[in-house]
Amino acid sequence: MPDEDFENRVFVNCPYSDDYRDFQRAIIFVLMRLGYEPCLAAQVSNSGQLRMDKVREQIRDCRHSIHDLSLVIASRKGELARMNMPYELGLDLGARWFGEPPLNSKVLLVLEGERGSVKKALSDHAGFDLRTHEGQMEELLCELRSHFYSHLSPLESGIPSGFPTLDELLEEWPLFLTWLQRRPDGALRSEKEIKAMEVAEFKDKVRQWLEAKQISNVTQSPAYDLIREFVREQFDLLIREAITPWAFFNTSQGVSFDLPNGKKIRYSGIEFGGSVRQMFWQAFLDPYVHKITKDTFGWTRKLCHDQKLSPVMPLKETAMFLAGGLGRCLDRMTDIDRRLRGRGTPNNVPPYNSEPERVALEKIIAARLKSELRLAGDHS
Amino acid sequence: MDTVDPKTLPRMLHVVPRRGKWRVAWSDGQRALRLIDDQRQAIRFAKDKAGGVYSVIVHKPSGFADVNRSIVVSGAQSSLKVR
Repeated sequence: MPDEDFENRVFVNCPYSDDYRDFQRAIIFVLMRLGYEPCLAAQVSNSGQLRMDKVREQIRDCRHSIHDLSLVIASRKGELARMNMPYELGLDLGARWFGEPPLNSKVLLVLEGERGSVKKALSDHAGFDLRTHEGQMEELLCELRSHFYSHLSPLESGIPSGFPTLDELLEEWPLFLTWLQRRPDGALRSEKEIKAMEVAEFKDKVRQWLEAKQISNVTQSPAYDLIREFVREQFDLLIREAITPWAFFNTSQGVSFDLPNGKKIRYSGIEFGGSVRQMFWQAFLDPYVHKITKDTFGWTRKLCHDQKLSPVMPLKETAMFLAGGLGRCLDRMTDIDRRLRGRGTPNNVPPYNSEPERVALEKIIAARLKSELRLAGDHS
Repeated sequence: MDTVDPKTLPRMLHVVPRRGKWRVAWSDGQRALRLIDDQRQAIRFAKDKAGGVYSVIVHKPSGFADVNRSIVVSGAQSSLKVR
């Protein structure tokens, strides 16, 4: 039985040149995001060890391998083709063909830049299934994910629950880079600085980000999807029934609401501004958020009780989704506020900064979460 | 290399190239606010949406943030994050 480390390791055979560095970084990120451990010769810093020894060890220790041959072909006259990648591919194939188990079960992914380009330079390799990234980052992410999905799909264990969709992957990669590029003072680091990072440090950063993000699919409670759906419905209703009608404030019909705290709001025939606008931003949403927060936590508690689930994680997820829904409400209110003030030309007035309201209303959710967790016996 | 705690990253607007268009989305958003054909228009839309309160991060096709086009502001940050 092969050990788990061998199963999860991926030998990455790719160019180390500057023009490929962003692809190399993306391959590392995607592999770690998919739950694999990328192994690159460059991650081992030991001047006393021959490069080929590092490569040989990694070929022996990894079940999977990725060979990118996109830079094998010289791009201009007089330039020498880079032969390291086909050389290491040959070694890897040799291990698969002639090696003892588990080496003979190795899984290879060979990438090329343009369809059919490798066949021209390496005609003996014809007949193998290659994947093409066209020199595009999106294509690279897509092909990497597809390869591992296809590998995992027929296995008995199937696709792991945390396996990202392509959209998630395409979304997470720039978000991760933004975090990495962001200095503690808020300024952005240059791309060059990130590309110059040691492979080992880059891997540590990916690990740190993934852990902090706690890739929600892996750590989510069984009630995660139900809670998300319930909260979304609550906020959809609030936006439709209570916030959107404000868009018609300047018309003859005005607005009319019975707030959850018993107060009534009736306005018509007046301009949006002054005390009305102040009420819109500072008093209107508050009772709704109180009610939705109370109802949703109550619903989650009941769900956990009925399904015999530990309530701690579902309660935290409830707070997280409530904060997200609150953001949607404030975004919609900002749009409406701008339209009402702009009177047909909203772009002529600056958007309202709803950050203080967000912070204040999130405190309602945070306070409720704290009480609910205490009730559930979680004192962390 | 110094980085901030990933959990404390403030909310930002991202302009990301996607399948020949430009996707404008919040960092904590589930859906794109808009898909726009032209990069300049997408940046203008994002800047307008951010209103000087939130940072607008414009990405290159490689995924890296374009330091010259992004607008970074230091603002209040959410304590409860989605996703």
